[in-house]
Amino acid sequence: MKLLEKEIRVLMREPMVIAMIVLPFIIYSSMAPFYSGIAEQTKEAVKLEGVKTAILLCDVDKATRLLLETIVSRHKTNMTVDLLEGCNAIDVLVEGYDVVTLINGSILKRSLSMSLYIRGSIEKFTKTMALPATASAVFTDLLAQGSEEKVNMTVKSYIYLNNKLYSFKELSSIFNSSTVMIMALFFILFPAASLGAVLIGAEREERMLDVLLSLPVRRRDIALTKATAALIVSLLAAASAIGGYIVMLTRSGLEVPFRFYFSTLDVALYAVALLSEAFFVVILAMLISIFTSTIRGAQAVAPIVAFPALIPFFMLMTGFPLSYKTAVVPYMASIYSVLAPLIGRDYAAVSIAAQFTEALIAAIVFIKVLESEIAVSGPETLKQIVRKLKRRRKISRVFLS
Amino acid sequence: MERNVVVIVDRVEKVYPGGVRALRGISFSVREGEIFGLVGPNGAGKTTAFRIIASLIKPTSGKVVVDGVDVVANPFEARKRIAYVPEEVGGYRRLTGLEYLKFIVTTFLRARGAPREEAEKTVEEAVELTGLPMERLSKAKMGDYSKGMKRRLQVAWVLAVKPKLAILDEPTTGLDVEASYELRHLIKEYSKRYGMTVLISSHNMFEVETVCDRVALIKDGVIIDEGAPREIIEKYDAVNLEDAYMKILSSKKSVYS
Repeated sequence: MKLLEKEIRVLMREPMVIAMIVLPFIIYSSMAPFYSGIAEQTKEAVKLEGVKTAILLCDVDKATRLLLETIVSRHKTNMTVDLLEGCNAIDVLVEGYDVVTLINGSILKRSLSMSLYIRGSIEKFTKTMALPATASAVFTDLLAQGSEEKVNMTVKSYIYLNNKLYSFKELSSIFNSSTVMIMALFFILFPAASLGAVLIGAEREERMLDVLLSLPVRRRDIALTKATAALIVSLLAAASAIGGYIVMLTRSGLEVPFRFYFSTLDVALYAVALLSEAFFVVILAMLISIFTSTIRGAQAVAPIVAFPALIPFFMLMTGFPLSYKTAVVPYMASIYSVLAPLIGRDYAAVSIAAQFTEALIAAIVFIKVLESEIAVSGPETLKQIVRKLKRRRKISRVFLS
Repeated sequence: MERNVVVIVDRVEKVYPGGVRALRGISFSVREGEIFGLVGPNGAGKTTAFRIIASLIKPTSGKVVVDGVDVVANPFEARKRIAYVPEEVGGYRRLTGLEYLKFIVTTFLRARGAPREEAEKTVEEAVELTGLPMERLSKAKMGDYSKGMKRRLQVAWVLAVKPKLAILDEPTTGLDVEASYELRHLIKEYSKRYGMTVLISSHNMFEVETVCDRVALIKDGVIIDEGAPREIIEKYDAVNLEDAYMKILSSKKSVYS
């Protein structure tokens, strides 16, 4: 047996390594409906299918009006277009239009300004972010086709989201800031999960778990002390990673305008959410690593418990139904608190409370497991479960044949 | 004067979830200051019995009482009275021997409500009991220690904290002749001087014969004989305990055959 073969055999015989390989496939493939939602929304935005549009004429002369009437009657796009009078785009949007194009200026003076107002939606965030570019391209093209001479045109895009008006640039900044914050989640979750799992795996590998468990220390204290140690070290790692990441972005000339978007309270809320998720992940990692016999196996636990944190991020991009029901699902606290300035702090508060409760339940289960025999015979218990499952499969095969 | 009974193991059975019957209703009791040896072939149930007494695993049925405390009903209280050295020698790779002793001694004594000064003194005593140079203990990490050195550290802390019951699962495995000799004497001395009850298992029959006041022979989860080493030797007309052990085993190929 060559060295590489031996190393691969050693790794592949570790149940947690197998789980680390298999679970991401199951998790991400089960997210296909969400991911196809991203493509669907982008397609909707590009084709402008079913988009209800109003062209709002605000202080325009007769020639311009005529031109626009012609454009509206002749356009061959997928959207429905109504020509309206007025200058208040928001009122029109609220009436039920997806896009309102407010036109100012004069075609005769060869100067037109076009302000696009998009009715945004968190549930269709991808479409919301894609629509301004598509709609402005279509209108600019139509106007250019309709006028014989070159017209100077200024285009601005605004998004009306949850009763607030944002410029497109502003919303992009918010999106960038949120992405950085979601990155922060991973900077803390992965080290937290890894350290939590290793703290248990190392006890077993170093043959110290029996000694530790035979000492007059309450299991609750063992669990909480290990979780706290893992959290402290992972917070240090996360602080270093986040700091480095921000330096990288700012040195590359990218803005990360947290202060513009997040108030101190929002940041505090996010920190609490992050802590609640990290605590949950640490406990979960320790709980699973009870079934590992080596540090190698324990390390494989980290991706298993940290990967699911990506799911809410995908859901956000694809049509994530904002509700108190989804807010209580594990791993949702950080995403709801990132969105707090857009959708309000109620969801974030519910989500954080739920995440803490879930972490507490996981901690109680972990303490109960530590108190039980499984703490001593964890890997053996796992083997027995696998054996039982194999036996059942064999029996069912015999019956089927 | 009749000494108090410290350990009562009463009809203890253990069936593991996979169906293996490790113990089939064993019973014995050990008095204060007594050194009780559990001997038997590999897989006989010695370690399972010790783990149950140390409250690490629960018996399927039966009762274990240590110093008046039921270890199943009140494991935390029981652990204050028990110090356990498992068969597999271990240690925290990244800690020095001294750090290890400080951690483990302080944790044990704090639970018993001992003051800090007592813990410090006990650490010093443990350091002395290891017989290892302070330089090595304070500078080298346990990852660099030999099995024998780790074993010495483990037995040293157990003796230094003077528990009501010390459980030593094969305490001299991995030790050289000289260290084994010293350790046997220390175990006897501490047991006598501090009235410490000791449960010991070993495959070294000479060790059991010289250290233990009483011995139980366990096979297939059943105690097949019990008594003072001298009594057992005489009963089987043997020259020493090892000879008696072999005679007992050959006369009972399997307890269930």
